[in-house]
Amino acid sequence: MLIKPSLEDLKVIGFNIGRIVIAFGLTMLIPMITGLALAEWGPALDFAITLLICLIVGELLLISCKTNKDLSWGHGLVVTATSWLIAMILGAIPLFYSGHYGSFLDSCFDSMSGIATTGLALIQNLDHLSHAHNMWRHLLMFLGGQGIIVIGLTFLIRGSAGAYRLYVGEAREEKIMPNVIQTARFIWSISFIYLMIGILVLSILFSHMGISLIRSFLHSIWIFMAAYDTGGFTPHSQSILYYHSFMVELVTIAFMILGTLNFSMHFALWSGNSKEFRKNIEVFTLISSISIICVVALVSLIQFSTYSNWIGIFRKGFYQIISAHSGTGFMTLYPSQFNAWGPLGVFAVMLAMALGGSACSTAGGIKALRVGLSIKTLIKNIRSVLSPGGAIIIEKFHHIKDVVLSDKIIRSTLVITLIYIMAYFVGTGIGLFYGYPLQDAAFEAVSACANVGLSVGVTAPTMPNGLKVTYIILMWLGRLEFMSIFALIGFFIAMVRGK
Amino acid sequence: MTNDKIQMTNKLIKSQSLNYLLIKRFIWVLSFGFWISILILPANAAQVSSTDLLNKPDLYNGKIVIFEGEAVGDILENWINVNDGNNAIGIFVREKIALDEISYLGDYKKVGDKLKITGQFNKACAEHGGDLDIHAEHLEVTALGHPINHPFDLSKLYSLLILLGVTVFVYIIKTILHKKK
Repeated sequence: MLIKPSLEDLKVIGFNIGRIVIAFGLTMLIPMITGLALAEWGPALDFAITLLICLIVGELLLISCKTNKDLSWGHGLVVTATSWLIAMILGAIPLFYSGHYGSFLDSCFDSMSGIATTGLALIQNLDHLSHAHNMWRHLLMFLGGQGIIVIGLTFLIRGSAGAYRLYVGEAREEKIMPNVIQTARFIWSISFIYLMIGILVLSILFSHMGISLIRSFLHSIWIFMAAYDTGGFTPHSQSILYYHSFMVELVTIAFMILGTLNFSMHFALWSGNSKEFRKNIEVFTLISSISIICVVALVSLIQFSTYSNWIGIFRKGFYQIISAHSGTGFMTLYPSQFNAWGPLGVFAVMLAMALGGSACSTAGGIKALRVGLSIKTLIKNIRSVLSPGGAIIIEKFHHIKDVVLSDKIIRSTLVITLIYIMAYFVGTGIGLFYGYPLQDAAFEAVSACANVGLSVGVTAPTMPNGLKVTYIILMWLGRLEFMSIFALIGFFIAMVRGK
Repeated sequence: MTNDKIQMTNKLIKSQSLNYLLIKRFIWVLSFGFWISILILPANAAQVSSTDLLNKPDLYNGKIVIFEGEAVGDILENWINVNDGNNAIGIFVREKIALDEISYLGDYKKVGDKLKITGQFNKACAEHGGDLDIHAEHLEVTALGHPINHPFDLSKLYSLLILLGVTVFVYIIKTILHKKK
């Protein structure tokens, strides 16, 4: 029997959403200051307006839903799923004001693409976008990548069991530190250290290439955010190809790999625990998967003579595979150029996108940990078939600590993997319904759901609205790994049909 | 009379031969110009759009093309990106000095110079790590860019002031409710 949510349930949800909306709104100070500093008055005004809207909405929720009750698991999931939808709408307001979008739906698409760290874009005339709006597009990825809830946890929400439930709702499970607030602060701390390194390295590189000092500084922030948070937005329409620089490609590869690592691995890295790197199942799976997919892509690129030398194969082939596997979506070629890769090459990119990076990172997709555990499960099953009857097969794996592969872990791993595959199929089906070829429909659906952002050209302002909505839902589902959204759907059903 | 006639005839011949010489020189200049233009702009150079280049890369690969568009972003060493309204294409200019002709680069505050580039198109340039690019042989500024005037939107300013009032009101209500409790 479904139990109808009480008024107190609604208050708990509303109160926590209110705090997150205020935290999200305050981040608009950054693009607003950017606009003011660079004499972009109109854009600065766009962010001031949206900031006030966020403060009003957030404060009204806090006043009307005032409660001291802590969050339950269900509340945490509903708050997370709803906050992301509200963040998409609020984040889309200044984008729409920029005048670079055909409709508010298009700006919502880019807003969700930003916070879900996807990188698919419907923006028009990007080369003439203001610095303030560009700052916002890239900041959306940084906020979404780190986790909107993590922002709230770090700055506004006190430590409690409910805080952990919000954190899990955002597809993060690992407590790197003993307390979830400390974990959230650790995630921010290392991200800021990398940000400083990224700004320094990329600024030097860009200014050496001839870009002015201010633009070098801004580009370095944006490209770092997009690479480390595996987002994929860039300030110009040609993505990373804009820079025509091997060095920029190498540096972004390094940041994409850092971004796709589990935050626990960063903790191991910073605490000098190199043994964890060698033993961790996720790292092993990720390296193996990237290597195998690179070989597959290489075979296809050689078969079709796509590039005439090894540098071309590295700068286009290897780069796109890393971009796809890490879930970034940076491109060093034009979407239509994937046609020259051959079917096997395109399949390799799709496979890399579908598998994705590490759990508890900014990457999307099924995740290396689940892939590794699925393979372990297969091995366990084969061993049990080959063993004499009654033999108990115990399979272990190492992820932070030695863990026995239990039925519970297997079940949760396979369920999420299955849901991802189903979402890929549904997205492909809807693409086919709108008349796109199978390869294109599948490529774009996987790219959206795995929060990658590579495109073969389907994503464009002219694509049908139904497909835009489909990809928005896929990006939302993929980033939150389904459970929060299922909880939200369940909550609404309980509100209507519950007793 | 006869001498006059002879003189007249001579004058006519002279003026005719002068006309003939002028016509000859004109034809020579024309043909010279024609061959020079052939050397500078090969006859098979096709005017193309970015859509042509991206949709039919095999057709234009290795050929001399004429591409027109707006210079956008930054001058990156020997590179300039040129946007024709649909896509931006990377233009590699071997003689960096040719890029000094560009006065405006397109961004939020400026419309960039309109450039006409004649050069070799590469669908996967061997020299530049497989980039799709054009190696410019001739670069010409056909129209000078200009600053963009973004008029201040007063309706947005009014919206801001109204929202500011509402925000203050909400915070006053919050303070009153807090004091009551």
